[in-house]
Amino acid sequence: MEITSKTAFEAWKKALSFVLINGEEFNDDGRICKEVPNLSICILNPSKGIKEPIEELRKFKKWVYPPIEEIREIALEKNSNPAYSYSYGTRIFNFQGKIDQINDYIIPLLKNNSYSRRGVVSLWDPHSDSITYKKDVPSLISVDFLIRDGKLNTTYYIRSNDIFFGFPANVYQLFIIQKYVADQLNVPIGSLTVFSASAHIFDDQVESIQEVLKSD
Amino acid sequence: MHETEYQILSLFKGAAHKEFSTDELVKAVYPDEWSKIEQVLNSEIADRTQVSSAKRKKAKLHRKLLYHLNKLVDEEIIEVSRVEGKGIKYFKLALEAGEEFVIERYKRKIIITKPSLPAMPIERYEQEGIVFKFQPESWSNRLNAILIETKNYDYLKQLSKDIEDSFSIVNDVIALNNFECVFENWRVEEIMGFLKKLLVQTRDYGKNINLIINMENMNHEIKNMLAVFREFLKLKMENIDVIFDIKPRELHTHFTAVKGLVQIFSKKNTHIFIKNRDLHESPYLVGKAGTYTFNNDEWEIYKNEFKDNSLGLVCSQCSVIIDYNRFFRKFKTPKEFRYMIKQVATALLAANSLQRRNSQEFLSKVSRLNNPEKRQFFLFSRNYIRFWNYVVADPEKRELLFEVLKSSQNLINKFCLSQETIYKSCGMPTRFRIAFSSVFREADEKLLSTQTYKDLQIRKSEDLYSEETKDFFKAREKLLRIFNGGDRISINRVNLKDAEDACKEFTILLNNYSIPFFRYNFSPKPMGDLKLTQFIE
Repeated sequence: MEITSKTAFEAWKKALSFVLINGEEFNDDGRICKEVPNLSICILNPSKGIKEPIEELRKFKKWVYPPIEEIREIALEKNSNPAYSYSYGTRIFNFQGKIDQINDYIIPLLKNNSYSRRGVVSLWDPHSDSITYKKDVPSLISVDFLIRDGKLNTTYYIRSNDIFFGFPANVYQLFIIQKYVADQLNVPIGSLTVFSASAHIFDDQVESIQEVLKSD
Repeated sequence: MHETEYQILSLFKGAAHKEFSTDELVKAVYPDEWSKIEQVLNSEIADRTQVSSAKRKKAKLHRKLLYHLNKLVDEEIIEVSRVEGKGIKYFKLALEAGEEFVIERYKRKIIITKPSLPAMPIERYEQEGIVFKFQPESWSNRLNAILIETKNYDYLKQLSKDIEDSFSIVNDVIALNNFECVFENWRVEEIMGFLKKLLVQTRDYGKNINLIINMENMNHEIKNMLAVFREFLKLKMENIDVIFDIKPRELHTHFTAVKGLVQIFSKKNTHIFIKNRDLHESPYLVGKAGTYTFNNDEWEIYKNEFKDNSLGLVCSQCSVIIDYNRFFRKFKTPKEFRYMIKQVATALLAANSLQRRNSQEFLSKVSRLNNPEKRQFFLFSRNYIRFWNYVVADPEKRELLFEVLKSSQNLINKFCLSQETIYKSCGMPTRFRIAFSSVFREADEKLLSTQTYKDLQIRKSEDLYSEETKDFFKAREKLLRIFNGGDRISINRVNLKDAEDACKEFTILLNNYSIPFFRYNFSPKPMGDLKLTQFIE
């Protein structure tokens, strides 16, 4: 299933609505989960209002959504922080402490050949993540960078995507990475697509989801 | 960049929101000279000439540093925040929250960031004197308590270095787990040298150290242990506490050792801590704020998967103190109390976020303690909400206390789990837990309300069986089920004539009461006719 929208906020609301209506229910460790497999969400103009979903969640008093500075830093910080089980920034910019996949690979690759289809960054590390009893492993598995019509389009593969809580922060982080690469390559930003192997919401979020769907 | 300016800026870098007085800056930049000057000025035997000379040297150090401080002020990197008393200046960074300096000079570069401080939703309660941050100046950029695994060190020198590095990241206590292994691996003279250095450091840095000795592992090292304590207790052990981790049956096995310890400690009219491992498996720590401990189920996981490969572990990140009595005098209702608790939890969440964001800097010195493969350092940490002036004599009010605390704890647990889930969904898996405990008076002597209760005092073993004592323990046992961050019972033993009596009393305490942790004070004489077990509101 594919959802296409101009902005992140529109895409988010469409995705929430779709999963709410079409999701298959199952018991996920004591919580009722509604899941749609293989959902593609394409944001045509991610530069516009990328923070709106986060701002929407911050209006709720029931919880505290992470501060935007912290969400941003985790995407770009290459040094490992012991306070997090893992971080996307480390995986992308300092994979296994050996490779900066963006600055040492993607940017030179696309500078050399802007049509290249090899612009892939991996975040899953079988050595540390393929352990059955491990508590926390990355949801974002890979990123694909493609320049077409002079614009940088990105596609993100997420294995497990909590559409209500996860999507707002994740799509903001993904946009930051896309913007970083676009700035380095001096090309405009194109579309941002998130492909979720499992796009899901939980029963205890439904009331709040309905409030979001009512908002403008 | 001049070395002195670099040192000044490094201080601010580590505490971007803090203001420093000239004295504090001089002490940090010229520690050796300062220490010598202070020794003379604080000495009771220094003559007038020596004192005058020390004062002149102090003034000279001030002038020397002020030259560099004024340069930095002129460059608008720091500013004078206030002037007090006899012209004592305080300095702070000339940065707004969220701004950053990048100062590059002569191949040296320093980056100082002043993160935005989120608004804390507890300010109203702080203004009312109900809620206090423990160590407010380092609340969001220091940890309260860490545990170091002594057993995993091959060299005392390396242990000593890691402890010294840890002083800069901790604002309360560092505990050395399984300290009994040093008695097996090193000579008495080496251990004494290590402990003497620790003693000086704890005074200089104003931190506490715990030596946790697991009696299960004591065999032929007992002789060494007694020899060390006999020597060490000749010194004034102000900030170092010894915690004996013991099961009741081990009291019997190690009776001679325990008796020996009692003789040594009682002779010095000091105290020992005893933790009952049958009741509580994970270590207890004790600092200025109060007791700290780990969740027992999580401790089992730690023991099985991490203990052998880890050098250190965070026990507590941040603490907030609540004056229970003051709250209810002002606000009256349990509902409002639960609302306040939620606000406190939100404030702790914000503080943890700041700590994480600052952690690259302030944790860099202790990166050795975190195993990069295991990433265990924060895995079992908790924040603390500590209560003051909560104990009540009236049974009805006591029941209200239990109900209020229990319901608040349920609320907090749900909040913590939901926040962890949210962070995990955002690709930021981190730990957020809160434990309840009591607070010690030393945590904030000036601000906490007057609480007039006294510790339990006993003159003979039979006192432990009195009805008053039983009631006292019963109330504390019930509270301990709620204080999942631990609690301490303090017992004053007066007129101890025979060490065997104390051993007998330990047996009674360990076998008859569900109190996992207590402090046994060897008092020289009774304190008036204070035998009381009542808590006066």
